[in-house]
This record gives sequence, structure tokens and C-alpha cells, in this order.
Amino acid sequence: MRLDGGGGVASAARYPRPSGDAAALRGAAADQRTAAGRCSDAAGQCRSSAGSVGAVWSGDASAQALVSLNGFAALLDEVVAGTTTAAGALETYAAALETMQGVADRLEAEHATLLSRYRSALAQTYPDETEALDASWQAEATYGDGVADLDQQYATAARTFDDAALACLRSLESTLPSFIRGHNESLDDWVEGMLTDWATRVPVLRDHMGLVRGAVWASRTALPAALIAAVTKSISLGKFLNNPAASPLRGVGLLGSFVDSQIGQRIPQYTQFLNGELGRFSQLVMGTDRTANLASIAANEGLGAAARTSGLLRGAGILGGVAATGMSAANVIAQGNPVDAFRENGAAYVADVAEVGFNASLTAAMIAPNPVTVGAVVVTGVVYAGAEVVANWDEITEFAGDAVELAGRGYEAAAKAVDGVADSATDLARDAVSFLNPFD
Amino acid sequence: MTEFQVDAAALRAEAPGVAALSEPLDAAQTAVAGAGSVAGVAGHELVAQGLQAYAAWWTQAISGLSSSAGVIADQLTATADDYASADDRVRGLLADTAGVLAAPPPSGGADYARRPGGPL
Repeated sequence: MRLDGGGGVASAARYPRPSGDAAALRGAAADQRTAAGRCSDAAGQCRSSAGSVGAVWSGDASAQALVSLNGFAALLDEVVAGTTTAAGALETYAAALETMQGVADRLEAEHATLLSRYRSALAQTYPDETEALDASWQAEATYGDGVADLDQQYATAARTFDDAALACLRSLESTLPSFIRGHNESLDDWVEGMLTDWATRVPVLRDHMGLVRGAVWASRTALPAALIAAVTKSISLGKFLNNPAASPLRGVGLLGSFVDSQIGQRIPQYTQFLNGELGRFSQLVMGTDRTANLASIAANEGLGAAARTSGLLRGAGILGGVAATGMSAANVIAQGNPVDAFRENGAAYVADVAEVGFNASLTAAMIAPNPVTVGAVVVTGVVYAGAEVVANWDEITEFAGDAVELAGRGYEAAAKAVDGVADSATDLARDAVSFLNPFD
Repeated sequence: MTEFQVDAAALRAEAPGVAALSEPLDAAQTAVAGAGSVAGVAGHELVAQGLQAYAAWWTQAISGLSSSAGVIADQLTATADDYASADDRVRGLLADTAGVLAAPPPSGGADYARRPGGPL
């Protein structure tokens, strides 16, 4: 008896070979090195001309001319550095490309061999059906194990190749001025890069880069400062759970009093909410008509859905919170495909995504500071703060190392900022609660 | 007024060397543009994007530098010409002045010399 000859196995290339041309890339790299050499010679010639001009011409105008000539030579040095970097990046990447192509070719050949053996086994004639089935299972198992191994090798090689491509991209981008935004570079990093680059060009600031880095870092930690405010609120929330008289909603108008009274009667349900019954608590406290605001959207749909809801952003805009939330959202969107962005930016991307949720929930808490929204702020804030610390660890340690004293001052400033944020949030919340109050 | 010294001829002689800097820069520009042209065979989208951005920026930058070399050379030449021209004019004026001073009083013209005992 003969079995089916394995015609169901796909005959198209199982392990796609990158279509790049390593030789062409090496040629381009060589061209960059040639360009670097020519520009280096030109820079030398330019400096030589500056010396000659200085020898035959003196005075103020001559001094200006020499500045121009030497500045021109310095710009040529920039070209030399850029083209040299590009050449190195292309050479390294070309090697990675060749390696990947070699791996793909080898794996494809090995797969063809496996497939051939598999088909041969199936094509043999067997005395009876039992033996034929045994042979079929054996051939299939051998083929499956082999393919799994090849798949694993290909996946590993592909990851290495992707990393090499990313490294090449980063090197090429490093030759560009800071005002050109990098591929998938977050807006925060882009803005910070520009600020730092600008600062290095200002003589006074250039001598105090620790201070500059500290200032940039501090400007990026405004939201974590708001997080501290949220944590402070959560402490009040905890006290409230033990003692309703310590409600964080005291003094925020009629609705606050109403919610207080409702919650005071329903602490068991509230606790249940904290354990996950968001929708129930939302109906219990917020209702569904005019009070069906951002907090209820967040409660019903979850914060992730709420962050994507135009109503949330529109509502946030009413209180001005759209700036922070919108910027966070733009920051995430700017990084493109989430999978690629995570691969490229790692923890920084997680921090940015968490920031969207944190800003959205913080805005909701400002509009309606109740246990739902404040609790959400705490949850998203902790995720955000954790991710932010991981993403900026090098920067934070560097900052601490450069300016310990500044950190102390920064702490004081942050404490004041927290007070400011808390006051501001309370004011905004009062207005919002007044606006939303169904008993006006 | 600030003091200065210039050898206009020597300064003018430097200009061609500076102008010639545009030649290697033009070659460098071609090479950088070539990097952009291999973006299509990069074999990876990220590298292709990087090459395009790299080539776009540096082609433009080197083109600007190449033009600048010509502008600087022209400035040197113009400066040398201006100094030489001013020098020629001053030299001419000095020569004219010296000639006027050395020449005898014109005859047949008005005689402005005061005669002894004459009226002012």
C-alpha cells in the first residue's frame, strides 16, 4: 500500500530570505568612507588656508574671516564624523544581513531535505495498512520535530537580524541633528534631546550640564509629583474606609455630601467595588443621567476603554486636563506600532502607555474626586511610576550622582508642586462637581 | 579706526584654494546620495528608513557647504580687490598730490601771493 506523497506540505519558502544586497551596502559604506576622507582632506586644506590668510591679512575683518574659515573646517569635521559613523553602521549591518541570508538559505535547504525524506517515507510501499500508518506517524513526527528545531533557529536569527537593523538605524540617526525626530522616538525623548542639545550650545549652561539634566528631569517628573498627590488622597481614602468622617469628599459641595452619605451607608458594597465590581458601584454612586460622567465611563468600561473614549478626552478638555492626557496619548501614538515600539523602547514605552491611563484617571479624579476615580489614579499611577522609574533609571542615578544637593532642592520643589497640584485638583473638582451636581 | 595690514595679492591667491574645496564636497555629496539609493536593497525597513533620512539630511548639508566654499572664496577675492582698489586710489591720490605740490605756480592765472605793502 502507498500513502499520500505529502502534497499538502507547502512548497513555498518556509524561511524567507531578506532581499537585501549586502555587497551594495558595503559599496555604500566604502563610499561614505571615501567621502569622509575627502572631507577630512578638505578640512585640513581649509585650516591651512586660514593660516595663510592670517599671515597676509590682519585686523578685525581678518579675524572674522578666520573665524569663518575655521568654522567651515569644523563643519567639515562634522561631515567626516557623520559619514564615518554611517560607514561603520552599514558595514556591521551588511555582515548581519549576510548572516541572516545564510541562515535562511541553510534552513531552507535543511527543510527541503526533511521534506524530501518525509515524502520518500510516505512514498514507500508497505505490506499492510498498519505498517503504513506506523511509518506515516513516524515520518510525520520526525518531520515535525525537525521543522520545530528549524523554526526556532530561524526565529532566533530573525531577532538578531532585527536588532542589527535597529542598531544600524540608531547609528544613522545619531549622525542627524537633534531637531530631526528619530524613528519611533517618543515626543518626550525628542523634546528632551532638543533641550539638552540646545543647552550644550550655550556656554553658561554647557558648564553646568548636571543642572541642565536635573532641570529637564524635573520637568518630566511633574506628573509623578501629581501621583504623590494622588497617593496622598489614597491615604485619605484609606482613612475613610476605617472612618467615614474622614472622607476625602468633605467640603466639595452638595454632591460630595450626598456621595458621602451614600457611601457611608454602603461601605460593604464599596469594598466589594474595590474588589472588582466597578459597574455596580458606578450605578450606586454616580447614577446614569447627568452624573454619567467620565468616572462612570471608566467604571463601566474600564480605564483602558475610557482612555480611548472621545468623551473622556472631551470631558478632560473642559478642565484643561486634555493637555496632559492628549500629550500622553500623542506620545504613545507617535511611537507607532505597539509591538515595534515596545521592542525598540522597552520600559520607556510601558511608561508612556501607563502615563495615558494615569493622566486620564487623574483627570477623571479631578472632575469627580470620589473613591472610584481616586482609586483608579492610585492603580494607574503606581504602574506609571514604576515603569517610569525603570525607564529612566540610568538618568535618575546619573542625576543623583551629578547633583545630590540639587536633588534635595528638587524634593522640596516637588513637595510644593504636590501641594499646588492638590490645591488645583481640589479647585477644579469643586467646579466640576458643582457643574455635575444633580441637586443644584 | 582699527589698524589693519593686508597683502591683497597674496590674499587673492588664497581664494582659488578655498573655492577648490567644493570639489571634494561635491564628490562627498554624490557618495552620501548613493547611500540613499541603496535604501531599496537594504533588506530591512528600518535600515531603509535610516538610509533615506541620512541621505536626505547630509546631501542637503554638504550641498550647502559646497556652496559656502564658493561664497567664502568670492568674499576673499572681493576683499582683496577692494583693498587693492582702495590702495590704488590712495596711491593715485598721493601721486596727484605730490605732482601738484612739485609743480610750479600756474602762469597767466590769478596771482594770489600778497605783495609787500599791498592791501589785504
